[in-house]
Amino acid sequence: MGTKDDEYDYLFKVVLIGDSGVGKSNLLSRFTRNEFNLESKSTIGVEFATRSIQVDGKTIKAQIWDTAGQERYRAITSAYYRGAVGALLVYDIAKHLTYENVERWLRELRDHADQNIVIMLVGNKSDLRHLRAVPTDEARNFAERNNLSFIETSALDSTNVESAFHNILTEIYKIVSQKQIRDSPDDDNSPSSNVQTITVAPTDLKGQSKKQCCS
Amino acid sequence: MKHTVDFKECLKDSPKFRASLEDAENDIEALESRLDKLVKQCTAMIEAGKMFSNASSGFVVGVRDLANYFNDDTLVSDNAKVSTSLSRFAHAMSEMLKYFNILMDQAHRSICKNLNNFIRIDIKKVKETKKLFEKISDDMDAAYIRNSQAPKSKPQECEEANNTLTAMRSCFAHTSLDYVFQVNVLNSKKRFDILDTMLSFMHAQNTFFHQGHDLFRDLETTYMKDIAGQVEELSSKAKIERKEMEERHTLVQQKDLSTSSLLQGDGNLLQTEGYLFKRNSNAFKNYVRRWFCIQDSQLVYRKRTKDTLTVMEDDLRLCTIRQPVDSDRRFCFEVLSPTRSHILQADSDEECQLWVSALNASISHAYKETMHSQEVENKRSSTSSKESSQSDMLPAEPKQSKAKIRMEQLLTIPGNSHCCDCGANEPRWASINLGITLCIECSGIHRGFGVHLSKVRSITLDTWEPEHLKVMLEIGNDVVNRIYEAEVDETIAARATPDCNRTVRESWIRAKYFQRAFIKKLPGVNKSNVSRKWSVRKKTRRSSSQSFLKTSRSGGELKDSAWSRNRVVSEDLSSELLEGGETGATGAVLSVSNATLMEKRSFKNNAREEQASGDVAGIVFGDDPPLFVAGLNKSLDLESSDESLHEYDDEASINVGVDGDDFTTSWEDMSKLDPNLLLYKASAARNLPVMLEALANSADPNWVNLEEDGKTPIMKAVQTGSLAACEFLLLNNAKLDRKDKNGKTALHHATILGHTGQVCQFLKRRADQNAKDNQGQTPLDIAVANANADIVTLLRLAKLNDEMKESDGYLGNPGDETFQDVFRDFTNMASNNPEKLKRK
Repeated sequence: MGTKDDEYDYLFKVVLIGDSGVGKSNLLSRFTRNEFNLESKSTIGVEFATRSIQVDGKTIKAQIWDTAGQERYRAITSAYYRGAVGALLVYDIAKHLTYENVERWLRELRDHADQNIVIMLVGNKSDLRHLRAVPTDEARNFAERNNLSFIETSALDSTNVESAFHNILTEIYKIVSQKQIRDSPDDDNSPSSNVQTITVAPTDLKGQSKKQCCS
Repeated sequence: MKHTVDFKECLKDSPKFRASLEDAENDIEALESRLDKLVKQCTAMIEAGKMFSNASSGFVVGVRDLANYFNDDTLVSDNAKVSTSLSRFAHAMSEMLKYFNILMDQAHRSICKNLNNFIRIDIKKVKETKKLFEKISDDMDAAYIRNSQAPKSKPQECEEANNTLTAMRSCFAHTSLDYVFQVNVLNSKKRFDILDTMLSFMHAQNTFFHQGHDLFRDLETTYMKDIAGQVEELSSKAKIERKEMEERHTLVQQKDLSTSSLLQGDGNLLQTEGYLFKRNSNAFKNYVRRWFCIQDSQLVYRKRTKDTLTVMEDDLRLCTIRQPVDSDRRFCFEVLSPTRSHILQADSDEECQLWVSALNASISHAYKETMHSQEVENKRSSTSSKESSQSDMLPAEPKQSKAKIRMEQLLTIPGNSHCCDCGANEPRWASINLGITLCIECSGIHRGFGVHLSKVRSITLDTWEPEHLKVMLEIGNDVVNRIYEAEVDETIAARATPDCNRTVRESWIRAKYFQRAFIKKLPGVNKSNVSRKWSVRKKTRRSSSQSFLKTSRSGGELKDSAWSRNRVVSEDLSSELLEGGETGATGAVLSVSNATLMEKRSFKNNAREEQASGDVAGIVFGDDPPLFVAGLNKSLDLESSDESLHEYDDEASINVGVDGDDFTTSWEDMSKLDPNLLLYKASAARNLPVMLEALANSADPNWVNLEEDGKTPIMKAVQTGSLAACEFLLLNNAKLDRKDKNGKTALHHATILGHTGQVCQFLKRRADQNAKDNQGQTPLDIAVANANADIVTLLRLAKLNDEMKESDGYLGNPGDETFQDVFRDFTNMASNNPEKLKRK
């Protein structure tokens, strides 16, 4: 996994953002190396990892940027949002404050990232059932209102980690590949139709994620 | 006379009298209640009137306000403005309001007051009389009863009762008469009194309307008719205009607007503007519609609603226009610059052609402009023409003005206004490793020697790294020529002139820089100076607002204060003077000084002759009297002149411990004065002119100081935090891969010191970040341990970028772009706002 396979059809840059301690780095290590570390340290600056997956017979290489959640460990530049086509906005389902701060992170994305960036809201640490502070429905409604995809994951027991990354990469792939196909025929009103394709896709995924996490 | 009570009946006190009296009383009651009601209604009316008056005056204020809004609108005739009409109307209305207020006042006074008086005084009086009458009537009845009860047997008692009765009867008669009188008076009075009251109110009304009529008659005859006429005229004009505008719709149908809207500027291709679809450079590659225009040799665009312009290409001269290779859309063209490519799409083939030809036209126009302005410039004399032609050529646009600022900054450095080698006016080229400006001919010769000897850039056309500019600002032609033309011997090569031929020029430049034929050798060791020491003056940067003239009094006193300035940069009032002094002090002239002990003598060009006199204890390199250049009498804005004071503080704190002297490096024996150590010490003092002098004396930029952990000059420069010193060494072939005794590279050192700007600088120059020191640590290990987020980010990004490059050059991979963005961010911060990089 995550080894260097230079052959790929698409390279997507995805950023992981969210408050300190919500488990961004462990989501990344679970996805790219199938590792989990209970005592991982704060991320300093930014870290990267890559992994390739198959979608529709195409190889998609995900270059995932794991950013520091803690303010004093964040680099002074906001340039690392540039070029990102996807963002996993992570909160901790057992810490309500991390969920409240999602708005702040959305604002940060809006300020610095591409306006078409695909955003997925990720409630991590779903294994902490007895400590749950953020109801699934509340988060899902919030995601719907803001046109975000939504999923709950647990990097600790691996629940939904694969799906989360797969879903967002598939969504990006759909948009990018659709765009390439659709480019020539109806180019008159492309801006508005772009917006639609992005908003339609998440509802698909929501159906899937529902099945997966509420079993 | 209905209710008037008869006096005869009154005396009889007959039932008829009593009945009529009661009638009259009821009548008065009825009158009183009506009057009461009327007074109340009148008060209500007055209240309502007041409210109306308030509301109306509010309205008048509103009309006046509207008049202000119409301040500029004129009607048909120029002197009749909408605003004056409105304020006249408002005036009339406020006059009317005044009349109205008077009317209300009169209503109050005539009706309320009079009627109230009637009720309070007249009716009350009758009522009081009535009470008295009733009492007397009762008394009389009592007298009758007593009289009737008087027994026959008691004649005296009968007599008495009789007397009382008689008295009572007469009293009653009087009282009842009086009462009847009162009633009758009231009855008659009510008629005229009330009527009179109403009459006076009617008069008030009459006056009110009369006044109003007068007012409006005047207004109408003098004004309103005129305005009505104008209004009519205006509305008919408006109708015509509307018709004309409506007809434009038919124009649309007649011809397609698409192209006619594109070309404004009367067919002037150089001012083309219009909508184009722009392909985003992100992975989505989606198209967005933007308003593009060509202006001042730039291609800029903006959104329809947002107001800021984005510069797509800031110098069209560097761009080419061609058919795109990989677009499946129609009507596309590609704008290709050295670093980027933009795909743009027009709405039709015709428009696409128009844009392509417009862009090509403005490219060639931009070239002509430059040539033209350069010619003009050459003819004119220095400063003034420089500015005007600059503004012709480089209008106030972001990048262009950057080039302009750069030019201004560079040319004001002493000596830079003339070519360093032949003295030609207005040099437009530079050699960044030597820190000089050159004319185009000499720059050609420099280029010919290869980039390892001279790195040539165009001041106006090339994009400059901020660090290169810093290096340039630290040196300058005067400084360089004092080193490289110290002892000119024209037998070796004839001096180049602006008009000399290429051979002369080439041999002069070769002798000057590459044979170093004219430099002065460093003083050798001789017996007279073994006891003496040398040191290098620590440099501070050129200030951003220099006031050269203020420092024109050179001499010991000034220098004394200069010595004390380093620590008190901001507090010391004289600091501004000193900044200027520092600026002058860029010469690598050796001079001798030591605050009190040493003679405050400076040695122009060479200190060595003076050393023999033995009255000085040492030499300070790079410390010399301020040098003044004629014509530099304006205060300059050296936008990015150098690292901030913060950095300086940082440096000072490092150096104090190391060298023990705040202003110079540690004192060395003259026996150790060799070019290598001089370069090393000058690097530690970030003194570029002295570094240059050392290099001119063949110092090895990668010399290893075995006495200090095997460090190289660049490691010393790292300690000062100076981007310019590091850049200067790198430009002069210093290597980043050298390790000191502890196995640390310059990148290690910069990371340990937390010098983000230098880490960025070294990574841009491909410093090896995998190098391990003797403890097996890479710079990244150190940065993570120090939790320095910015340096960690830079190191990891650089690593990612390397990996992306290795894994087969996939075009446009996001790592690469972000790498450039982030490094540009940090470079700009380090050069322009280094304080931003200071955290914690």
